Amino acid sequence: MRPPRRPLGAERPWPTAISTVLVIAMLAAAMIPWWPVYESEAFVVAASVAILAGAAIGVLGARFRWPAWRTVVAMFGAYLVLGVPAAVPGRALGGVLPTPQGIVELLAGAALSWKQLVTIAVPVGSYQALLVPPFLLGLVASTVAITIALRSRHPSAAVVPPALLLLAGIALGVVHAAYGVETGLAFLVAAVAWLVRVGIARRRAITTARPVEAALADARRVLGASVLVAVALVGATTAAFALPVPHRSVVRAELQPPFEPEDHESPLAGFRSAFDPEVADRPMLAVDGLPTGWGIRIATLDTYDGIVYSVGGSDRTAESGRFTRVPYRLDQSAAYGERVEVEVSVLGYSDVWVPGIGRLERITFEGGRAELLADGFFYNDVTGTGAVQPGLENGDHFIASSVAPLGADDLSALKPGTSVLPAAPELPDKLARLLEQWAPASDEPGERLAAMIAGFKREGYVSHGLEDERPSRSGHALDRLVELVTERPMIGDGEQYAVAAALMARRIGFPARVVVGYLPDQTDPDDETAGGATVLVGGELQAWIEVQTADGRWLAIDPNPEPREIPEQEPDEPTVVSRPQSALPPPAERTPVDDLDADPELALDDRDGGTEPWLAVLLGVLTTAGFVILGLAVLVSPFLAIIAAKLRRRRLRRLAPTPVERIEGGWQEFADTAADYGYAIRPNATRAEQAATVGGLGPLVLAAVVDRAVFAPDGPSDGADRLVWDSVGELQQRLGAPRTRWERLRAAISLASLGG
Amino acid sequence: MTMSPEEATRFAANLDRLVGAVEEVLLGKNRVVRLAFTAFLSEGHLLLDDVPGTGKTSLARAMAQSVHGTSNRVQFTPDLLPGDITGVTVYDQRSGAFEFHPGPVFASIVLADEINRASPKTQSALLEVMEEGQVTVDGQSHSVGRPFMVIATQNPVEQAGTYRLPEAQLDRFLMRTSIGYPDHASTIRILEGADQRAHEHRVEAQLDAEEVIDMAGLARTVYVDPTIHDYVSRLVEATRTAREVRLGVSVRGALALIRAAKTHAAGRGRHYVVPDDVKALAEPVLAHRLILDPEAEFDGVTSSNLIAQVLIETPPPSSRQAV
Repeated sequence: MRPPRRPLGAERPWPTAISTVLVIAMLAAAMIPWWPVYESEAFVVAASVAILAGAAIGVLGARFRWPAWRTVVAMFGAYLVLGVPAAVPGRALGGVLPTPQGIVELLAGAALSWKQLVTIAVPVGSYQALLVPPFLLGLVASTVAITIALRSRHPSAAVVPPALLLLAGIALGVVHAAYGVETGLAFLVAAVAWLVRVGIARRRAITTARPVEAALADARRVLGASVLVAVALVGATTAAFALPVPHRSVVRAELQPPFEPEDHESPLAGFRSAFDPEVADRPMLAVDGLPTGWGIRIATLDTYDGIVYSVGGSDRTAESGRFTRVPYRLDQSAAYGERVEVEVSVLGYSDVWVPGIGRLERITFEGGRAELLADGFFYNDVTGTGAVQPGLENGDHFIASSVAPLGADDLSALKPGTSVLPAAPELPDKLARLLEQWAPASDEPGERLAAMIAGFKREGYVSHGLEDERPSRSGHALDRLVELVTERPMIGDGEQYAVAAALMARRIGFPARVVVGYLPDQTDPDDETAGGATVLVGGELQAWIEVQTADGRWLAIDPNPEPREIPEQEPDEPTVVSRPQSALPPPAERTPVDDLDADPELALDDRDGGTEPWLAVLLGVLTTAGFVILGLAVLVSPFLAIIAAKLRRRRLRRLAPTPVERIEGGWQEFADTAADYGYAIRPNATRAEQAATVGGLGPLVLAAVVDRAVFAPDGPSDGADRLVWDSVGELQQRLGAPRTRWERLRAAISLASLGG
Repeated sequence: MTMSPEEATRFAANLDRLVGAVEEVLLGKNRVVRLAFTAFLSEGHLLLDDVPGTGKTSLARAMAQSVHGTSNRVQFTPDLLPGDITGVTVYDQRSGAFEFHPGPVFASIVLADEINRASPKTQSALLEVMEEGQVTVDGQSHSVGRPFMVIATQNPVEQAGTYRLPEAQLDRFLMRTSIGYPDHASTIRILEGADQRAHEHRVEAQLDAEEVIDMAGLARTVYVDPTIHDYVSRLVEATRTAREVRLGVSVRGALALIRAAKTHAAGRGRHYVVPDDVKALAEPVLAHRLILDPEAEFDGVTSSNLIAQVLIETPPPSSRQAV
């Protein structure tokens, strides 16, 4: 008896337009997870073109009843014609006309851009053909979704293609859950709106109900959907605040990038060789735009195994060891510091590590090897270390824009940051004692850090162990550090001082790492070239440390003492040369190293513990009460929604436009009340039969009155509707009178009359 | 012109009197008696599926007496000829002319007992009179007068030596029902009056023939809302599309249902038809018009069950604007 399902069709313009708009809304919501991958207007253009083109194909296909092959051909044609300007805009003539090379890249991108997309650092903008995946998926999803929406007998299945597009965006997207709640809710709202639309359309196709009941049924669907969305909104918001953010597995996180820092020697390992007289004066780099007093970084080292300080974790799991390709720029909007642009010309420098400042925002290679270097450039945004696969060599040239942190005026005011670094060995006793001597543990961390740095500068002397210098052993293993602090006078160079200072800073509580780079000698007039660029020579290689402060910044601190004359060796305690005495501690629990989203103020407060106890208790109670109230609201809201729906239904019936409709509505109200009280009111029963189900003379009389109003030729008399509603109220009271308050409440929130 | 509420009230009162009078003879059978009068006042005919001894003759006689009419009983047998029912033309030697001798069909109410025992030829002799209220013998048409009603019976148990009624014949019966055995209390009351033979009990006439004809005319003026027409249409369509049915209800069946529903509504004092009227009469009016699929019959499906199912699955109109 049930009528066959029919497709929504595309014959009538308004329903078609509504369907198309709702499906496009779903597709647009499904595109949100792709945004962090691109963060570019080009992505918006590509996604919009794909969705609109697919929608147009779907609508035309439905309107003119295209067979499947014609739809596929149209889709392929749209891909070829629109793909280049939308997804490979760099290859479009005038930004509009596709070029042959653009089409080749477009076609190749359909197969090759996927892997490239997940092995490159984000955002990628419109780099090469990396917009092809969302364009292609958007075009296909849009065409299929609109086709299903307009032509299928199961139009609700149009939710599937946008859902797959959403999942693809999540899978190929970024690790952090950017706009997670917003995306989920936007898609939920759009999907629910579409399903409600489908439900309403289907009901209109098969029902013979009169307009008021139809409007009531539509309102019921919309209200139910609104309640669903509201509950989801409250639930998602609560969950977002109350629940910990789980680890998010995406394709990008699972793929091992092609650059492995472990394959390359630590820049600190060959530190001393830079001071060989044969290379010490050799120009290595010419840097234009380097602010006065700043150094240029070669690499940041955060992993120490007691022997060598290196880049990235030794077990290949640290974020600092994960190098990804950089398209054309990195989003550093959240980084602290000032923007600096340096132009670097490679002279005698030859290594894979790319010199730079702070956190890289954009790098442009120039010269004959520009394309090779651009394709082989990798970057680790956690440590700010760049690398280029074939290595830099004389003649290479690049321009780098970065955000560099400002230095700290007063180290003693600093508070430690919260990042967790790869585990390091225990600080040897000698170093710990010296640290305690310079900076007692009772002092504030900032004061201890400042005192430690001052201690190295005060008591340390610089020697690279060259022939004309005092002996100074190279290396930065723990035994060399112990030797450094036990010798009197303290003799070493940047290699030892930086490592010792980093370990001591970590003991104090500051996340600390070692930076190897070139620090120009401000006193050397030869550093300035005629063009204004700073020429850095091999002997200007230096190591310093970076510590993270409570506000998330990594501050560069130079612990190296000023070169000065070294006094004669003082007889002191016998030098103890030993290997590390303690085994490596178990690795600390890893968290993203550079957690800039962490609230530094909160961390500060936690460390200070300065909140008044009563205030803390009050806040705790209020927070708990808030969550309890929120939870209760979430629990109660569906019941309130049911009651509100019934009140709305009653109002609609009572205020129906004609007396006959008001009278019919009165009976419906009574029948619904009876259904809510548990009477088996069959929807296909006549009013007299429904009245007989309830029993008693009153319902039978009411049914007869309503039947007369509806079916008699003379219609209802004046005021009959009011009398009917009075009678309905009386009968409803009679239904509830013999029942307990709990039974009445249960009837009030029963879904029986709402089709539940 | 439609019936007024006052006329409906008067109609219901008259019908109640007729039903009450006949009920004195046919104890405890209010529903059947009311159905029989509904068919009578709808100017239709009634088919009773009944075993012998349930009061069929008493019903016919009592109904005829209640309207001051005549009744005849024809026992159908295999050797019964059409002329035995309709009458014959005989040559009168005295007048030298052919004279028509009316058969038993010339009565207000004719009881065709065990109609399925007669040959199809004889059964079909009733077709003309049931449809047109007249018989044609030797080229001469003779009206049987008004009111006129055939109450036919057939034994649902004993099938040997019977001729199944053709569909065309079945379709001409407005309703099919059965009297059935009386309930316990009625049986006791019947036994208490056993010393008086049934045919000796005379029912007092409540109305005369003219008044009955007026009532029948009045019943036709009952208002039927378009939603009711739509409902009936959906019901008969449902019988045609049901899987278990080989032949559904014809348009004549739908017309019959509307006609009977009008009389039913008037009998309830209403000048308009409600879906309950249709539902109340759907089974007796429609069931005998269905031809079930043999497989469904083998599975135990009956016409009555199928009509009940159709009534459950077809939503009745609840509002005027539904069409």
